[in-house]
Amino acid sequence: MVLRIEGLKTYFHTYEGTVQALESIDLEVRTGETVGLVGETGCGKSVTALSVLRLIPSPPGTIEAGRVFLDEPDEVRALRKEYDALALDRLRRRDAQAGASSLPIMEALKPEIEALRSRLTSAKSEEEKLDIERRLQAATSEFDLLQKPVEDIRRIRGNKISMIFQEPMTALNPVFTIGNQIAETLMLHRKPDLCRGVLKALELQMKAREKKVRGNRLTALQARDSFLGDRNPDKFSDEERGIYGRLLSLKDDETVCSACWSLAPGLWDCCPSCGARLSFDLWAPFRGRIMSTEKKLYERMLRDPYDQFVDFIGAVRVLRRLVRSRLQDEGVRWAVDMLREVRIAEPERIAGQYPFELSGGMRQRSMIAMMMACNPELLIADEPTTALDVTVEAQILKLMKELQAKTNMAILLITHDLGIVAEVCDKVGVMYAGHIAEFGTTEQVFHRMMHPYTNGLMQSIPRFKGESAQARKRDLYIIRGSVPNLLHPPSGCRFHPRCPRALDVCKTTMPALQEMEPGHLVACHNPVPAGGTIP
Amino acid sequence: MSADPAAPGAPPTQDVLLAAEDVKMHFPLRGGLLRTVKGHVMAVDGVSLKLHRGETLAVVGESGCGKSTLARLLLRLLDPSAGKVFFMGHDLASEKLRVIRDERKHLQMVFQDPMSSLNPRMTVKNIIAEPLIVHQRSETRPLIVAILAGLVALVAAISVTLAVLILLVAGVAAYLGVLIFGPILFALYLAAFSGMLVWFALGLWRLEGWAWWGVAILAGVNLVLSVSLVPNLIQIGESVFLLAYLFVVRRHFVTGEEVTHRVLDLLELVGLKKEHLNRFPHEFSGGQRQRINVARALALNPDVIILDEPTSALDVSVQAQILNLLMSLQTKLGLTYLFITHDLSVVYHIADRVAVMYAGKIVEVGDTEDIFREPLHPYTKALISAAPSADPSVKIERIILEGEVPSPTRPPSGCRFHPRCWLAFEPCRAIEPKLFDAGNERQVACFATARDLGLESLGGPEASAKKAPT
Repeated sequence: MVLRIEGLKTYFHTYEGTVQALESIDLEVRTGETVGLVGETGCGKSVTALSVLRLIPSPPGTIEAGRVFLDEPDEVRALRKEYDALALDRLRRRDAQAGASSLPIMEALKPEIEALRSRLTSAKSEEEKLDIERRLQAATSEFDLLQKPVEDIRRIRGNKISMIFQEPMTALNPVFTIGNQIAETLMLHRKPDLCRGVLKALELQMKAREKKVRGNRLTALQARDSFLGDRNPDKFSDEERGIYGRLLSLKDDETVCSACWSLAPGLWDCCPSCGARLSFDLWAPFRGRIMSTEKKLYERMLRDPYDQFVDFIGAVRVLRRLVRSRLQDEGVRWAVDMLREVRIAEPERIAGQYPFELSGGMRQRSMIAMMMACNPELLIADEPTTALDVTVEAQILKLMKELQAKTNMAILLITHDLGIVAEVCDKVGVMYAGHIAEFGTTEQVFHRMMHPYTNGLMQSIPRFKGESAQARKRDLYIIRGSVPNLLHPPSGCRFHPRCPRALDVCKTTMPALQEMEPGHLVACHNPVPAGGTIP
Repeated sequence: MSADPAAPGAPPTQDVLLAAEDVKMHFPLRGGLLRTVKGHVMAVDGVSLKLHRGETLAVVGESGCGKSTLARLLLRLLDPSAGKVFFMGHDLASEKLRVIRDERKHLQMVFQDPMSSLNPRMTVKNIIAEPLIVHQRSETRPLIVAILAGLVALVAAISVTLAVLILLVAGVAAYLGVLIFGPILFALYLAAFSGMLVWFALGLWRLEGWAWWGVAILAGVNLVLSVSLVPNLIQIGESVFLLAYLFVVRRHFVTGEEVTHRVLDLLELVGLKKEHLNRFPHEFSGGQRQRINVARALALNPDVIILDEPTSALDVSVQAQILNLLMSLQTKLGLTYLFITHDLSVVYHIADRVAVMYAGKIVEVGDTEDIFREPLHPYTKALISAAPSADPSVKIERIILEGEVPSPTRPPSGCRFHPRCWLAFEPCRAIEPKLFDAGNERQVACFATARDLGLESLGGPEASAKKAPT
């Protein structure tokens, strides 16, 4: 279980009135699953995603009620259900309209929480402690994203949950290179890992310094010759072959350190990879001191990524280099690996380019690289391929599937293209005017749909695969009327004014999601028999 | 590939309505201090296609392949760098705009984004009436020129006559002792005449309401004066001509009422209501806006409508409405469509024939059914297999192309598809393949396909004589 949305309700308070964008959304995304969210423009697909990440612009938007649980263990969930029932019962006694949000529930459970806290301090065995902790987590809705402070949410965004936006050009920052933008994400969320890499490199450099290793700065052309010498490349060891291959892939005029055969660009007076002195080093007497200071700082950073002293150093302009430059370099190096992972050709070059220099597909790939950099548990893809061509779309979807198979992350795919959903998703939620109308496996929703809206939607799309020639040129089914204005949504079921199967009850009461068959939820008073069509 | 004349894809008649021959559009790229031409963007590079009466020809391809540029070239919204576009006996590509004005009236276009193609400051009525008014003006322009020239000649003739007459009248008047009244009457006459000219010039554009009455009154005054002051035949004839013009010639103009009637008819045709007449585009939903666009395109009773991605910006349920509308209009009005899109399922649903474009060239043309059942060009194969199908049970082996569409400034040598093609062999890299006939109204530009079909000559014109094995 990764994400569970319960009764999410988001409103936008505008001058014209309250736009009831989301009205009690329930959704579940499990590890390794791809869940599609389809619906027409303005049905609340994107608002759902933004609400989960707490990115709703406020004002005018507010999340009125609901809870979003991330990574809630099953045991805690079972306990929470008990506590919720208790709390809701108490709340309803006070106010019949009480909504299921975490804050009022926690308030209602105050005595229990205090009792648990006092029991925790006096707990003796480990087991008892664990049990009480779980109960405490359940009672305080520990895993609810909507009640967490903003700092905690920031650590989740881009880290545990990342999001791919529709238009890669507007989602990427035009004034930073691709490599820097990916490095930024890593520096925010993966500081310890980067620190480890930096420290390893520092150690190497310090050792080289102790041994007084000197190297020469060679062009790649010279480096190839001198590395080869008069040896036969066929008899190289694996390591040597790797180095030689890397040298061959470089452009002729790039600078290489002769001590470690890696790139040594720029004006550094020592090799950035191995620390060998490459030329006259003005800073040599201080280099050791600077490096040991850097090492101390990075160790400190490794111990606590949010260390106050390191932050202070980072805030002072002249000292900033001590805590940033190596981290940034390491981040960019990591970014290049990520770009290679999403199969961008020449990742080193692309990492140094700006978004406008790339084509649409490349931009979306680098966006995916950025989002995958932190190994998210959940990837929210908001219309990831809408701005792309079909052949590129196929590439991107294939890439997302491959990355999912590798990391076992969950994907919440928001789209209006039923074709993509059918192709990629395991489960589908069909949204209409701020509601989930139908939810089930792709097979259930596409072949045994029960909600009249889903049915109409499926009939209104032209198809060509697996379709007979007679169906061509025939009139498509049309759902009569148009999407309601959510300032004044229809009473009862929001679909009833357009529904050919509407009953009287539809005009007054909103249908709840009911399980029609295992895993197939439908919100309708008068569902279409599974697989049937409506006139 | 059986040639079945009763197949649903077969166009009703075979007469060619619009034919493009080797149309090219090379946009110059300028740079440097002197803005010299540094290269060309070869947006459309040698496209030939025929549009038969009553059919729907779909042009498909990825973004940047030149579909929309092609549409603009056919309409002469852009001046092509080379090539010919034959329509109604004229070459739209090279003749002067003045000459082909009437022909272009029969070619209309619906654009992709329904909001940005409607002027937000005009009401629906004005938007739909605009082509009517513009073309009425352009139709009557020769008439106006003739009338004005006639009037100038009249003024010249009158002034000579008047000079003689005034001398005569002045002499007689002085003699009669009414020296004062002569000039006053003359001034009145001149004012009425020149005022009438101005009124006429201004009002001719849209002679309705006040403008009509203005001209009528002045013509009347002219008549009265010409009869009362100094009776002369020229002036009387002129006034009579003017009045006759107002009552007879004007009938050929579209009046405000007629425009409203026509607009209402059009609105009804595209499924909008009377109360929408005076609303602004922002008050409509996306689907309704696209209906307004269609109504505007229909205003002049065109033969051909070029639809540039008409449903790409719309939701699926709205897309269904627009597609139904387009299909019913085609049967009702006998329209011919050139349908530009990248959505293959829409193409399959609506098109009789398909032309597949890649990097500024057509790579395959043929009957929709044939192309979808058995694509011949590797790019068409990849395109059709890459399109997601809205049916989870249909599992198709997908061909996923590596790389992206080549830059139109420096297209690859030989076949433009060869860097991404899995069938490419030597000639593909060197020689540019031409469209060859693969039988059954099918044309393909691919060496590998030609080889597979057993046509030895690689796509040359001589290959078209042979028939492909089925």
